Amino acid sequence: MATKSERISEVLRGLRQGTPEVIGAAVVSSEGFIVASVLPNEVDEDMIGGMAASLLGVSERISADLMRSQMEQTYVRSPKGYIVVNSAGPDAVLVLLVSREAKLGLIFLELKRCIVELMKYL
Amino acid sequence: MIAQQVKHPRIVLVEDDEALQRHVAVALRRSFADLDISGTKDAAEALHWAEDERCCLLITDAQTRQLDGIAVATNARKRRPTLPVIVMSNPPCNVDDVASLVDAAWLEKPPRIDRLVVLVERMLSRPLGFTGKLTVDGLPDLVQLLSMIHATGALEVEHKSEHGRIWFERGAIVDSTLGELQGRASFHQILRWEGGRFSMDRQGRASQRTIQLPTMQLLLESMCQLDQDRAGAPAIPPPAALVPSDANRAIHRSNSPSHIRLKTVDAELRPEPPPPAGHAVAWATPQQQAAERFQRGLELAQAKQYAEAMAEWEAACQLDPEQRVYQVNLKRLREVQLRSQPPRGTDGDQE
Repeated sequence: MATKSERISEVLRGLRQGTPEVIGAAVVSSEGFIVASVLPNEVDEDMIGGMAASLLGVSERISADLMRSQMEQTYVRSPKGYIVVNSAGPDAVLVLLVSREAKLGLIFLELKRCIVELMKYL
Repeated sequence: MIAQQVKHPRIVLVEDDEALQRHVAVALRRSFADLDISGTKDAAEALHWAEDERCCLLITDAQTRQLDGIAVATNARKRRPTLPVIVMSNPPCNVDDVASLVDAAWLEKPPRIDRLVVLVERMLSRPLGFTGKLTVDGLPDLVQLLSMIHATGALEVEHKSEHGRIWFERGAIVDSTLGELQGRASFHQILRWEGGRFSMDRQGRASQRTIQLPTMQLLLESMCQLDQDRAGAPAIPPPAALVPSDANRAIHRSNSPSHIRLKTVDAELRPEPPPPAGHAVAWATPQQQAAERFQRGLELAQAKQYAEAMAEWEAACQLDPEQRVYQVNLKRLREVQLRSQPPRGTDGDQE
């Protein structure tokens, strides 16, 4: 039987296949452990885990201190693309690496669907 | 090095941007003076060169207005399955296209020359592997061997006029076909054959997963069936008739560790509770065991039981050293553990 992690990988693979603008995706726990990932070879998984945890920490703090609310989503834009960090349950985040050509609205829509799927296993 | 095994080895560079082609070729010539660097933007010419024995590496643009580099590489691989390939692409690259090329490396365009040179060096120093002829007493031996070496590909077996296929994915059997039979039924039937010819297609990939059982368990089922055939007992019913579907319960260890109880055909087809976790993985492939232990480690890490999580992940790394995510998490866990420990010299210092 497939483990939770393998099922999550399947969901991520489905997201990447259905949305070519998504270069890579990873589910990272709040402490920075990678639960599952589908990333191109050149992307350092180690870095993804660490950075996602850092970004999550800062975003949660900002959200709590300034808005008195929970962080839902953070995204970073660069000339080459976007890094989207979206909460996935209380203990994990979904990190997406998206190319610059992507239509963010569609990406967010796909992301929402993906989170619903992921929540079955998280 | 592969490049040293043929006279005048050549790197074929497929790129329709002439300036970039020239730039890359000059850089490669500077780093690999003993190699010919042949650049082209013509797909037919590229394929002709790539199929030549002299070609030791194909560097191709993934997709341009004028040519489909992935198609060139795929066609070249049909002739020369072990040809190293580097695909250059502007992001976003369709990762699945590159993934369909087994063992191909991907490089972002425009390529950084230092990275390209390192990649070329790595690709050229890859071992080719051995080819030859092998005769085995029975297919189970071959299946076991392929499982042990974590082989991926399609094992094609011919017996008289019949033609069967068994697909492996990193040592695990994932699919099998024989005429209209598919899955376990097909696998068991193929393993009944007492002679024939086989070949292993390393590029073969299963289109679906029809077999979930660990290899050892499948083999034991087949052996059991063969014994029953010889004893004149009825054959194993089709998989659907075996009640414990998810699992791998057909054969499992009893309470006594030295005793292995076989329950396959006519005995105890009713559902049973799942065995304890440790037993469930006893027949799994190393990769499956590693995945189980990784999952357990994740749960322990979430519960902040770091020492236990570390033990699980260390075991997962040993079982499946190729999975980088296990190593990454283990490294991260060590960092987290270090951070969570109180600094030295402050023991008992409450102020």
